[in-house]
Amino acid sequence: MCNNNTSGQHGILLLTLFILLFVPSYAWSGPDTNITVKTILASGNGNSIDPRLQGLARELQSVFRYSSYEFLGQKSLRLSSNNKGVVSLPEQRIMNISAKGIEGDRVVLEIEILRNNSRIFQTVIKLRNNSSITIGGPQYKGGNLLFNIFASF
Amino acid sequence: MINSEIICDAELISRYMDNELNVDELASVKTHIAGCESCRTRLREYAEINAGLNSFVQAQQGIPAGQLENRVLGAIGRKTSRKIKGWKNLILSKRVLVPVGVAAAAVVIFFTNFDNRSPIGPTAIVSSLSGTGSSVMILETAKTRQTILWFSENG
Repeated sequence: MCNNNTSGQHGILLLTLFILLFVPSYAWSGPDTNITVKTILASGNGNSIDPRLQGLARELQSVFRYSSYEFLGQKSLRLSSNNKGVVSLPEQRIMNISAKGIEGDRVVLEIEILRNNSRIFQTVIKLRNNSSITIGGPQYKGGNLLFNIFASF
Repeated sequence: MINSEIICDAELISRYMDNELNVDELASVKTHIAGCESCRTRLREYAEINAGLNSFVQAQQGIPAGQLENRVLGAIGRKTSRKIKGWKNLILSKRVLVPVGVAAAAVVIFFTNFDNRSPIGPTAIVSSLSGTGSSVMILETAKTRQTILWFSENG
């Protein structure tokens, strides 16, 4: 009887270990994801870089030739798995962000940008923890809008 | 050829004592000494000094003078090898090996897990991408490899 009990306990322990080790991490709902979206106007008008964008502007200057980076606004979101956050952007644009889960050290995000309720851009990305992505392109006030999305979980 | 006037020279007599003369010099000095009382006297004096020194060294060390150098070098060698052995024992002892091993492991773990200065790969992996405009591009910054998605809004 004692032996049967012991082997039963061992079986439960092994099953628990198996579940912990082999069930894929994305199947787990995971922690909430903190998202920060910065809206930036990049242009060739003037030579001013907003102090809040110093580090980011330096990075972006390795790709773009804008001389001015103007900070237009920022919004923070806390998303649990499959929750959607909405960010208002200039000129009737909105950005929807959904966290689809965690895969290793990356969060899966679905991002779409709409203008006048019609979708103009859509992507699914796996963004590394404590990292950011910049989405840009829309023309605005003689420059282009950039949306910098930072995620941490 | 060395004449007899020049050969009355203390240096030459000393070199003769030490067997340092060439064949010509040796023949001339020998001829000169045979006929020169003062040089013979000088030679005797040198021989006495030499004998005195040799006996002094033997008395101090208890060994013939020729073997002294070998003994001294041998002693130095033994001392050096004892020192090397001491260092070897210290390095291989557990007191040193364990902390050094722990420190090395800590350095390896630090650099493999906590060094985020050079990220591996881009910040974002793009699974799907679409836009209504004419073009959509994926770019990357130079330093932190931040992913940039660029789209044109109007077709």
